[in-house]
Amino acid sequence: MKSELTAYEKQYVSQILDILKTSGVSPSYREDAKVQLIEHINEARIQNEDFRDDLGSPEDFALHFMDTAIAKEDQKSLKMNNSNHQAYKKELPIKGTLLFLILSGVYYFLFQFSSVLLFTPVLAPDYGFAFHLFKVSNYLWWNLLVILINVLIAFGLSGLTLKLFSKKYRIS
Amino acid sequence: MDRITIVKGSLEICVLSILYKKRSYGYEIMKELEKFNIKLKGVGSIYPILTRIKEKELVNVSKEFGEDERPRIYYELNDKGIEFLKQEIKEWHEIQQDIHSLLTKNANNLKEEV
Repeated sequence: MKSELTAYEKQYVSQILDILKTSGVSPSYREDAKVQLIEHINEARIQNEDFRDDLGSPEDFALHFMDTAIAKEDQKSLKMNNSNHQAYKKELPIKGTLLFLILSGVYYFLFQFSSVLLFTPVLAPDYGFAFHLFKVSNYLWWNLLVILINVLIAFGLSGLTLKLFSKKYRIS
Repeated sequence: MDRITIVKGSLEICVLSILYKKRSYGYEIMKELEKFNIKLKGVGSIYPILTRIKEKELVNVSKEFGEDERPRIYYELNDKGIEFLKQEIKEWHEIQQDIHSLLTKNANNLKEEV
């Protein structure tokens, strides 16, 4: 299906599909919901209307969809899979990008601090090496290399942390 | 009175009646309902109903492309759907009649006050 959704619209659709998937709704129902949502969003845009006025929040739409669209027998098996709606992910009140940057910053400074402790004699009592967070060596290229490696590791770990978070929480 | 709850309970029959008149697609059906002040703003939409009547095989579904190449899913009531609608309308009128009789018997004076 041809879809030219904005990032906000895509996020709305994917939030609903995510809830439906988490609740064990079958792919055919999810595909149906997706097609309907895209069609409605496009139509609402043509009419200069806010699609959320009609569709409600992602949670409302998904719950209404599960209660109404899905056959009674399928609903029973859904309830057995999810004895209640606690299977829905909690929403973290923070943007994904912001969380990524904060995590990267924290990881980076931890690694940078550890690098200075590991690669310099700063902890040796009689050595007289002054502590400097960005100075591991007297060579600039070596300091830059350590910074670059730490930044890359911090980004990688932040991505991994976000992925783990996303299993339990919904990040906007 | 919780209007949304009452509307929700009768939404399927409303949608089927619109499709009985002519085949239509989701957004158009929603706008037709709004003309009669039947709205479900903020608590979902008619789309789950469309999925349900499709699953019950009460409608024939076809995908068509408009002039702007935008696809629309059209729903058309089939014979099974017409028969189902007929039964539902009968039942709906019976329930309405029963409730009306009960209210008239027990609280008719309140109606006049309103």
